[in-house]
Amino acid sequence: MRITHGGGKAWNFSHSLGRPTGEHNGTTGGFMNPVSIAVADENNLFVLNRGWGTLLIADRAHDAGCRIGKMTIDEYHFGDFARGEFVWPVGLAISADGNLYVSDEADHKIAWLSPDKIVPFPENIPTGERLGEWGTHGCAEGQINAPAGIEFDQRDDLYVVDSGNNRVQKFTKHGDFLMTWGTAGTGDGEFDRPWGITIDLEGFIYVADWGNDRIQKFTPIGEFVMCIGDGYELDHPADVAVDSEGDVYVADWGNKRVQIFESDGNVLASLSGDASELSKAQEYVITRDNAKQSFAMNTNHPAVTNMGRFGRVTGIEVTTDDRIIATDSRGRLQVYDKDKQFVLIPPP
Amino acid sequence: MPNQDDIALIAHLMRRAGFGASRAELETFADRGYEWTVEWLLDPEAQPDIDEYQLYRYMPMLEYPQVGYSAHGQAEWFYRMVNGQRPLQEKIALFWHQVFATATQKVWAHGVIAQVNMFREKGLGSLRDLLVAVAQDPAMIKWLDNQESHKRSVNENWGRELLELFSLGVGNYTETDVYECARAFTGWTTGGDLNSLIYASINWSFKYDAADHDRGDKIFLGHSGNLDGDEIIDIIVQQPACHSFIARHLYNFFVADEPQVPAWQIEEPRDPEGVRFLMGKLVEFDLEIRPVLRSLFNTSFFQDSMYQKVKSPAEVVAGTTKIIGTPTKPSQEWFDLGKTATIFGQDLLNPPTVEGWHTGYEWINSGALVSRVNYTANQFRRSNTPGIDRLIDRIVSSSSSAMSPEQLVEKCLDLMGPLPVRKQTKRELVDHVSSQGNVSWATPGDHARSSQRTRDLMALIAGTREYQFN
Repeated sequence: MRITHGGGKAWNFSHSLGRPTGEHNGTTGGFMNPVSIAVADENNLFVLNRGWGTLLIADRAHDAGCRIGKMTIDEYHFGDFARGEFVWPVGLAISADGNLYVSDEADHKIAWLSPDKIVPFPENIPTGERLGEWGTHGCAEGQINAPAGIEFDQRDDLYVVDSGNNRVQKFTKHGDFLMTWGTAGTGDGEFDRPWGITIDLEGFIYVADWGNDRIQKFTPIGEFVMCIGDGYELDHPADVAVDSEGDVYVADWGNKRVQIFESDGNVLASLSGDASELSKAQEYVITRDNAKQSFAMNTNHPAVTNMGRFGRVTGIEVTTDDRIIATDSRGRLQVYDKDKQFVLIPPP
Repeated sequence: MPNQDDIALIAHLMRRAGFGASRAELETFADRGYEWTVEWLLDPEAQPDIDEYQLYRYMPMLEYPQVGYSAHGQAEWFYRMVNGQRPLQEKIALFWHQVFATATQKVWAHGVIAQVNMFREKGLGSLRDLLVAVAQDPAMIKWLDNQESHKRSVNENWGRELLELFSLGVGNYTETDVYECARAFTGWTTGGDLNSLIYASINWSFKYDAADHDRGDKIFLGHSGNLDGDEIIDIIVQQPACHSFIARHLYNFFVADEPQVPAWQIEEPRDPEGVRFLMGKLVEFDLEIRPVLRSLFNTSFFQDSMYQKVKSPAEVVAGTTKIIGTPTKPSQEWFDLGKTATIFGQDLLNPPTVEGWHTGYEWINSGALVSRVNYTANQFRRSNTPGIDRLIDRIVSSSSSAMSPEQLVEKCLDLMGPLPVRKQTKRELVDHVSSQGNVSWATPGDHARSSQRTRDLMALIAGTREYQFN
């Protein structure tokens, strides 16, 4: 078991999920540039994939476009949907009625989708899972420009990181404007191309202020509370999540790691990725293809060990039982469990 | 205030040593002077690199491209050509990519992209060091099968192409030299190869397998001994044939179109003096490419060579994009640029053979020409093109509320190059504008109509024979 500890706390690497692929039903599943995760009931996950970014005919055959994958945390892939429904999807959130909301930073839209449709691979014809969309491109109040992270609060209102306008805006889930704060800059409450967002159990809002290398914490009405990681600990953070004890997990995109902070901003530990064993999907693909086994199974090879490290971490979520799930640009997720029984034994 | 000739000369330099420049950039460079601009180009490391974070945030697929596709690498390369502040670094990378042609049709895209990165890093440095780096480049080793060349079973592919297409040219070595060269490179192979399907990453590196290296005596180009690969390259770069071969490549790429490489054995250079000049500079500067290019850009034969080269597809696409001013930010359009150049015959990162692309007039055939004309004309007709908006603003601010068709044609030709055209071409352009009368900017309605007429005129200019030349 790989344990990372710091500040008297510990996190155990649990397992990785998926592999970079266009296939994703049953045990074969995986991701193509996963950018965001949403955790539904019973620890079912929705994973938003940006895809290859280009929809050449050949790419369509490989299902390389964007899509949403539905799976369990134990890596059973129900399948995918919303294939090719977006240009550059970036944020994913679940409303109280269970629908999925997706931001598209190229299209300047927020769309909502039914979570129940699964489209068999490699079919990519939309089957009505997109229920609606809203959003007007612009910089006036209520207009959005390159929306990034999104998150629902307890009232089922949606906070949108309006990245191109360097601000946060709050809407009803139907797109009615409620409030906004922030402007471009480096001061408190100012942003530089912000990305991810989360809301903790007390209702505080955390925004990944990507270009300013920090997380900013706000009250629910947008009053600045504090900065986290403002002392060179972070390099272009992409996303943020908070566990039940108030510890803050940051997708430290530039440093290719997850950085963990206490609620007061002190650094606890860093997770650099431990997926040096094969996921179920990886095992599946090498057992069906003998030619790949010779080196893929050579887990003593230093290059394989390095493959356990994170690529870019773009999205991070914490489940209700404090399991930490991070997207990894190497086409997989990595799951850690917070060890609440951990006691640091001092060396003799 | 720079005069018209200063602007034209700087524009020529920026087209050849880069992929063109906006009018505002040309004027800035012209203010500082030609020699200053040459030095600026030759010192790319002094300029900021592109903001890779900005690019990879919005286009993460570029950082982890898929194995068999050149599309991602092409999108990033065009982004660098258009947005980068290091134009000569990109141009020299394209030059060496053409000379040491390696393709995704056989090698994983990661490898070819890494090879082009190596050209960026070493392309202006020592030719000797570059040849060693090419010989140790994993993509090249895979491309020319050197991992299959063993001391008891020599594969001559790399050895042959090193001499024939990469350094000396046909007629300057024997079959024995090819075999002995290949023997010297046995054991130069790759390590750390991993399956991208599972790990989405390839850890590829050069590996020297001493146990598989042929340590026997070899005789190569009159030199004998237990020669290893780097010693072979040391011998190669002493050969006048190597200096001549690289000099002709430089002339062909930067000055004026030469016949295709296989014909060099039988066809004299169009400018033997120019090639001899470059040979001399290669020797004088100990095969360092940077000072050779400094000398070249300051020669009269370079400065007098305006529009004597057919634009390569990459130059058409990147150059037009720089003029129209979009895209600049990360977007899907960067993929379109790569696809467009491919349609024109230059599938970047995937040249057709180890010989690279046939250049010059061979870029032009009836299909490619129609595609090029349609593309460039359509780009200039597009709405939401900030570069053209800026050019129109210049036209308006430099004239009174009305101008003659001749004046508009002159202004557009100036701002799109300056582009000299034949009298007949100019007459037809003027006739086209004249068919709708004089050009007025007096009222908002006049401005809108005249702006559209200007775009239409620029589209016509982009469709001329002259616009196809660099």
